[in-house]
Amino acid sequence: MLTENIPQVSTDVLIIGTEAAGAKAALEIAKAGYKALVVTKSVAGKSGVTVQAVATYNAALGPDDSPELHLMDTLKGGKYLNNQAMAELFTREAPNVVHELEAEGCKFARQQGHPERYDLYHYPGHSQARGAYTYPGGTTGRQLMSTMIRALKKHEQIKIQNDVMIIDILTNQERTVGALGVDLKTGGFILFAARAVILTTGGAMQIFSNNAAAREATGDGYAMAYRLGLPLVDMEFCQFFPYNVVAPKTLYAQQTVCQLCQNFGAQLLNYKGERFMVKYDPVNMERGTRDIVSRGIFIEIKEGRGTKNGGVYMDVSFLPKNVLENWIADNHPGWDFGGVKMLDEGIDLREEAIEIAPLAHFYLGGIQINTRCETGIAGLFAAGEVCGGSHGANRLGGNALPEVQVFGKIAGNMAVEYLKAGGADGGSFDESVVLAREQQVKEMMGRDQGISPLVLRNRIQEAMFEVSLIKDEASVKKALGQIESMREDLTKLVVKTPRGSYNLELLDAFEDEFMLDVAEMHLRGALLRTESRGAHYRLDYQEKDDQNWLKNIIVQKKNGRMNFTTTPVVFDKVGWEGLK
Amino acid sequence: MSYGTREMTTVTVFRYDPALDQEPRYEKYEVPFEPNESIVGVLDYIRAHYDSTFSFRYSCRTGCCMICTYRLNGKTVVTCRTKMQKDMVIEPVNKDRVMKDLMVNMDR
Repeated sequence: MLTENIPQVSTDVLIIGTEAAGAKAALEIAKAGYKALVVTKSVAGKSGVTVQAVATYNAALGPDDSPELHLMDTLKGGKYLNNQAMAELFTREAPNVVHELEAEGCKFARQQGHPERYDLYHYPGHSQARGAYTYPGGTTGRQLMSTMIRALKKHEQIKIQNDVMIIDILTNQERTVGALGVDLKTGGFILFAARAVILTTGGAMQIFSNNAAAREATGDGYAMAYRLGLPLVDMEFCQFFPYNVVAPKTLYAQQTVCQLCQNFGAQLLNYKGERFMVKYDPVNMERGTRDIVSRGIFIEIKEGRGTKNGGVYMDVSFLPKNVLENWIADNHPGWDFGGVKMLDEGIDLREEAIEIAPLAHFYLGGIQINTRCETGIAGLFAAGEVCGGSHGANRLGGNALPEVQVFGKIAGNMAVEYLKAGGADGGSFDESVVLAREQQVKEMMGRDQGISPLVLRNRIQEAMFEVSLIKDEASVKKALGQIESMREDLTKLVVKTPRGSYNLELLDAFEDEFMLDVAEMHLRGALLRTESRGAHYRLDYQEKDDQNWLKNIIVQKKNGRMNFTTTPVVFDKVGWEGLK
Repeated sequence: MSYGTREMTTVTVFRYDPALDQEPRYEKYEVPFEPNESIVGVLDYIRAHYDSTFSFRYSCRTGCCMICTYRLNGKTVVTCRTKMQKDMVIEPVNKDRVMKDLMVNMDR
């Protein structure tokens, strides 16, 4: 065997991604008595975006709430594009998963004096308060992950491996037999032989320079699935959150300041001090819906009226001092925003404005799965943000954690079912995949001159920034041209770091390759969707077009080409009449 | 952020590549002094402008994952949530676990 020098690891189920979805899948597999190996290209419990979830875990837990109401809100929020079966499943199962987390030791806040009642946050877009959260505020994602990692470590059947980036899923006759990775601890390849594989690699917000996501969110799972010929859905949709601090950098992407807009009527000013929202929503101004406010801010920045840190000013200095101080005392004692004291950073909201901007927050599209988390290749399952469908064209606040954990659980159970029915035998795979990767690395490390992977990364992100919140045919075609020419740059990449321990450049190089695939899917899908809906906004087609576009766009590799089709939304849980 | 001629400052960084170096060394880099910049932003600057082979861990940049925790002048800090200073010395928290430069083995 040509690849015999590559270290090989065997397991029952390989899970790619260690956070909310992957960890949940691993628990189900171990409980059924099978071995799970969970790998991350960073550090388990600290990589990816789960730990960044400062908000809530939505579930119908309140006395007047029901999964049916949660579903209805989710479909309306998703502007009707949701895969209804998936949305129905996660809203129905969300309360159970909250209870399972509690059984593992995660403590959700209760009402004072009523330990049997959850204290639930009421998010915009939800008809009920259903946001369960942990103490202290802003730690829900972190506490969820520390609970999950503790739970994983109780099982001998579960192994966690940090610092491994998976670059190819290996198949044999339409059956998954494992994966090829780069072991960043050695700088060499590593082969995983697995009877089943679960992809939980998360989103691709990193394709935009204006993102608030962890560095891992480079769309690896999207690209690997695409290369296998699997269908992906809604790839033109990436959600941006409007209110993120952009300066000082020590408060970067701090989001709780959004409450100043929602609750206190903060004013947004451009670099010239103009209250610009008058141009975009003269009636509601800064209290307009998030998408309109985001676009207003983005236009100001793009047209050169932003601050030099790439934002606009958010001002509450007109409030009586005690109004602001009381809010701070209740919500951010000591002016503490996530461990950083705002006053110490030189920002005094009583006197001055803070700089904010919309940043990429959640990738809505992804691998098309069914409600069994099956992808179309036997033994390959997917769960979490790497899948598309649950949230449609827009995700409601607090709906990410329940979705990814419910599907993580299902993926784990379905992998178990698959193994019980036989599974793959860890059979052979096409060695040419591995040999091509070896050749690629040899070339990248052997070049004297060329393009640095970090430089290419920045070019991708900058090209995508231009069309991040507002698109039209001309701007998307321009970005597409840039992305296409950057594909040629892939053959010129230079990795200067010698082969050995922790080669960050090599990681960047593989991620660049994946990001280019995702960027192209995003742009071509956006070009096709000649309407505006949810997170997708076309300047040349500003209206939602229910007549023609109650459809999902499917992208799939066919005969080596990126192929697009559309499929009508299936209104099998809630009829169109009941929604509009 | 400064205007016109940028004020520069020296940052000293722990470097070690077991594949090349007999023992750890300290490299000095001249970087722009920008009071609003975070330390992890400075590490980025070094990688982009001086040495693409420099390795360090970071992930969320929002103070949630904490894997960009290093020593600043001997004191442990989360570098994405800590402003840059003049004349900084940046080292890993645990030099015994270094895999390369500021990257430490975080397996537990």
